[in-house]
Amino acid sequence: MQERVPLTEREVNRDLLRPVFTTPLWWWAAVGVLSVAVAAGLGSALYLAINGFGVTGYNRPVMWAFLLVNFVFWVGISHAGIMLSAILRLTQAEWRRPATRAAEVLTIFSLLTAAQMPLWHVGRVWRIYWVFPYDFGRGIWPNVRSPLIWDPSAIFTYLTSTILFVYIAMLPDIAVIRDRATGWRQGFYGVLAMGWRGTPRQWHLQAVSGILLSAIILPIFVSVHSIVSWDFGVAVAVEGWHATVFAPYFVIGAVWSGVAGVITLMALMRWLFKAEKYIRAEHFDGLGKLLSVVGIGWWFFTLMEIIFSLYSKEAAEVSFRTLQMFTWPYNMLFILFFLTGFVFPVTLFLSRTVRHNIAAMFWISIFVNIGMWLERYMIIVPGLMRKQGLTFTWGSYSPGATETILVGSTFAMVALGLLIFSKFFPLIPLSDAKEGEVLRHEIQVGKVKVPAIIREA
Amino acid sequence: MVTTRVRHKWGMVVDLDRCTGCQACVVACQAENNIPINLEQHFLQRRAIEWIRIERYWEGLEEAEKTGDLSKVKARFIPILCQHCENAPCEPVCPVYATYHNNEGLNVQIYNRCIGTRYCVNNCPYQVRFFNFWQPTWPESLHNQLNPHVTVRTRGIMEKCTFCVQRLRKGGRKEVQEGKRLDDKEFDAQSGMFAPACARACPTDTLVFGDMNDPNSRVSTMAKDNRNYKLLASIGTEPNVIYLKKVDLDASDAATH
Amino acid sequence: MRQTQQHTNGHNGHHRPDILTKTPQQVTEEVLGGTFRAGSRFWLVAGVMFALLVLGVIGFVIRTGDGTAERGPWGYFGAMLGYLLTTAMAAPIVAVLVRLTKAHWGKPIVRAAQLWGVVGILCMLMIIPLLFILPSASGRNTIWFYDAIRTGWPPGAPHAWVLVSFIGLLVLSILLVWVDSIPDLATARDHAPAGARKGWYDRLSLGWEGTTKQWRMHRTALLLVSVLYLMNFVYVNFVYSSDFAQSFVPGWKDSIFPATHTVNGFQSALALTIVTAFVLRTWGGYKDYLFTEQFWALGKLLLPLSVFWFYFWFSGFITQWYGRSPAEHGVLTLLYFGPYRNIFVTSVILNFVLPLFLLIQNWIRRSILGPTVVAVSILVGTFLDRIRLYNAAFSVPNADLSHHALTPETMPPVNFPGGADVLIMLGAVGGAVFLFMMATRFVPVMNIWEAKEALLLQRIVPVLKAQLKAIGKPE
Repeated sequence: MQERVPLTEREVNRDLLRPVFTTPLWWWAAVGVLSVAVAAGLGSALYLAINGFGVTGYNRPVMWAFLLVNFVFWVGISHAGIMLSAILRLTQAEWRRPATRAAEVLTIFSLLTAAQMPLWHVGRVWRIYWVFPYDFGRGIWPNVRSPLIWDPSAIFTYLTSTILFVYIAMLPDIAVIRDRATGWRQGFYGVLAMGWRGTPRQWHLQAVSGILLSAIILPIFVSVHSIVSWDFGVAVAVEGWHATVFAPYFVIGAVWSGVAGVITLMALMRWLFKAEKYIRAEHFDGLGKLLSVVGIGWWFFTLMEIIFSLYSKEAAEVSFRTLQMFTWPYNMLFILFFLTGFVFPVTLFLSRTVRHNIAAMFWISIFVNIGMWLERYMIIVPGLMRKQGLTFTWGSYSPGATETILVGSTFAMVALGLLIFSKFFPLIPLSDAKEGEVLRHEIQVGKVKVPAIIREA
Repeated sequence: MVTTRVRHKWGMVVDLDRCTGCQACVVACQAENNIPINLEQHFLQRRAIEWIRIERYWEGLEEAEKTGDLSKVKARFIPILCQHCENAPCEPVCPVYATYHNNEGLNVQIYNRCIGTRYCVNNCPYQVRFFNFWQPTWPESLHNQLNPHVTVRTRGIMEKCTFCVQRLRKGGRKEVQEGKRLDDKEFDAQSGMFAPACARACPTDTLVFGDMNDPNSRVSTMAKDNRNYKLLASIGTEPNVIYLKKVDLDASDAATH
Repeated sequence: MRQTQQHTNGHNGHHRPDILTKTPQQVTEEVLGGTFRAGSRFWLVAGVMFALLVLGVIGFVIRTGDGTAERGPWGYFGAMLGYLLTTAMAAPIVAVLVRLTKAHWGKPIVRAAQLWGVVGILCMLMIIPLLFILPSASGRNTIWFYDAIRTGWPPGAPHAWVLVSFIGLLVLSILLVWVDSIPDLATARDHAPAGARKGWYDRLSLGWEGTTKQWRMHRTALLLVSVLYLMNFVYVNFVYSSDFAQSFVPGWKDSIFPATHTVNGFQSALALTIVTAFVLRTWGGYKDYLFTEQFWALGKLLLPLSVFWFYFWFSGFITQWYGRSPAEHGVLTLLYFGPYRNIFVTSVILNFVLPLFLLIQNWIRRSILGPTVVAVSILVGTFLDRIRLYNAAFSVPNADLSHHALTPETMPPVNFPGGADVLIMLGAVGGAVFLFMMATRFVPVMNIWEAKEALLLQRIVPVLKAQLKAIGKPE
């Protein structure tokens, strides 16, 4: 375990700006590999758009599958950013500091990736702009009763506000880079820094807008995944989807998988950027504690969903659950989901030893997201396979190569985005780290010195 | 044309007691509505397009397989087509208004407007909406067979039963010209063929089509039969297709799906 | 960062943060003094509350005349138990959450919040007659999947499982108060004059001496009981809201409803804690212990929970609204648009609209009166909401239980309160307050050991020109 050492501002600048000013070989190698993967994904997306959905494994009862599962998954991951930044900022949780920027940027790139999924998922991609309320010559507006109109509205609002949020929080850091950059970079960061000089007025404005944005963004954050859940929840024809619990269930599931994604990212940052002094075991400890609560809460909603689907003993629901839990191969997927999505992570997160072991936290966080990907799959695909009691139309689904490659490459898309971002901006916020140093204090209690934190209010 | 006259409300009665499962309706629909040729692979992939299909269920098969005596097994047929629900779940979920309910009780699909989100098919409890997975093609020899009154649909959009709206349009034009409402008989005479292809092709008169708003029409009378029921009525979709239960002398209680 | 501090400075001038400034001896004397002796005003209020409780018992006796065949007449009784579950029995949750998150501001209010757990006694007494009116699980929707003909499993469903949950509630709520207060009971033992009281303190403090080992055990036990209480609270809400509301209404299939009930409970718990803190500060003599900080922090929490009130309701509502099936239509009519529309709209205003528009303004949040007013509004709103829910559910006659949906013909009318119902409502509220007041006579309502902990770990430190509060975070 890394002991906490006092840091000077000079050290903070030097350590955290290193990835921006130096480019190690692994960075180029990683960018190269990821670019190939992204190209493969975009290639398969184009192949799909040109040839139509015949090339996938989609069929009549299962009209939404892999791509939509992946959409829900990445929207879920995107919830980490605001969860950590806004909520923890408002509650003044100290351990948030090194995690906020990475979480917010993860939000941006996972949202961009998620937004692609419905795009490639429609039958006629070239007409997708019809879902936007533009001034169509024939006077036809989108159907606001459809959750598929709420979706783009929510996602683009969320994306815009997150970008704003990241940018405002990053202004002081951009200014620090501007002061150290030379050549074209100086101009680039100079424009982005918007004349930041660190005057009291500027700090005041930045702090106030940060708090305001946090408060405004929170309802958006809740609404986004609620709306995604209503894509499914309001569908009366699919027995397995039509559950009132879906909105909070999806939101808390999103927090569960998103914060796990942040843990994965923080462990990688600690190893790749050698940020041991900044990303310490105590931060993993805080995230792990938070996650154990979130995980149990999420499981409560899962249980509610299952109990009340069987509550009225309707044949369609019972056959859906029988398929989902007891029929090969879904029973194996369900067990895998149960173990990786709930049992392992929650029990392990409860242990302090595990929470302080960064390698363990890394692997558990990956487990959580395997489980959460499966959770979405187990809701969407078996739900459609057993929509209603008309057994003649029951069917199944196995993914085709096209959508599998596309889904696989989305992971590369997010990773590539983060890597490129880290080349231009520090992933650990400098100003937050410095603020943490200023607010640190010690209290003498009897013979021991207790670490303390100064509260501004 | 805005008039105050009472509109038609097209509906269908399916008398399951008469259905033999011959699939003539399926073929007729295929020919009338320019539905792409369903090859074996399309069925295997579950991507076949059948605006009307015969669902076949075996009754008592499980017990019969145990005993080995198949003589008691009964074949049940039920033709399923778009139910043209008054309270259609597919309609509110379309983001671009590509499907809506018209004032004659028809659930209408607008091919040009459809972008293929496939939400409507998910939200259809009857599974009667079809997605064009491929660009439809016909062999050279069949090009003259295509119905000129019906659009050929492109890849990536939804399609479904229209109650052969192209036939209804003829009679409708006549009504507008004469400024009065026609009853089913006159309407049929005026349009030449007023009932959809499936109903006209049915050899046993299982499918009966007509105006539900006309209390004297044949469908209205038949819909009041005490064997009537609506498919998946608990969802509350209020279909315009009414089913009449099969009469089964052996059955101790009512056998419905 | 320096600039941000200047900004704080600019806002607050040279305001010094509120902090407990007593010596440990003063804390002990003041809190124990308040516990051992009470003024005449206290006894007057307690007497009135006891009288209300007696009236409630009379109301209950009148009610028993209606028999247990139909649930309709018991609607208000069921609603009152639901109300106690979402307020008094939820209040300890505030304490649990404050402990789990180590929120430093919560130390002066946790004990008061926890003490509401003694109302578990009343809840236990109230569930017994309700068990008799709970119909058998077979032939209707139930969370227990009870199938009498095929399996008979789980045994005793639903009655046995309801009873288990309430026994758990009672045991854990008393245990929570006890475990938490052991160090204070020991302090009381050391200071109490000889007599029966001292003997009880002696027995209940289990030989507490304050050794390191004892403190460590205390911390573990408290954490364990807290977590168990939280879990059991969720379970009780699930059981009660499902068995005594949802499963009585044909076609009501609402997987979010138990969660809604629980979240309503968290909201009312905060509200009740705020009101309790206000009373303690204004009339209880704890002006130097409870500051604006506590009300501000509770108000901050109350804002999102009030928004959640709406969010959870809306999540359920929109799904059923879009479903448009006859079953869902019947449920929505019964609960929101039909006979109980006005009472529903009122509770939306009191539980959501008013709290949102008041608490969103910081100057209201950061006061003592502001959060208190909102808290009262929420307590009244929840009261109305429980009456709506349970009366709507209870009024469906037995004959309709197995139906698929409520139709306009089977839609039950509003159950207006009769004389006995008014007595029951007064008795439940009065009884709960009476139990709480009696508990404060024995267990110190202000946490002595945590107040002393705060004395150790909270300091005012000068930062540049400002005086700010520094909070120690051990380990």
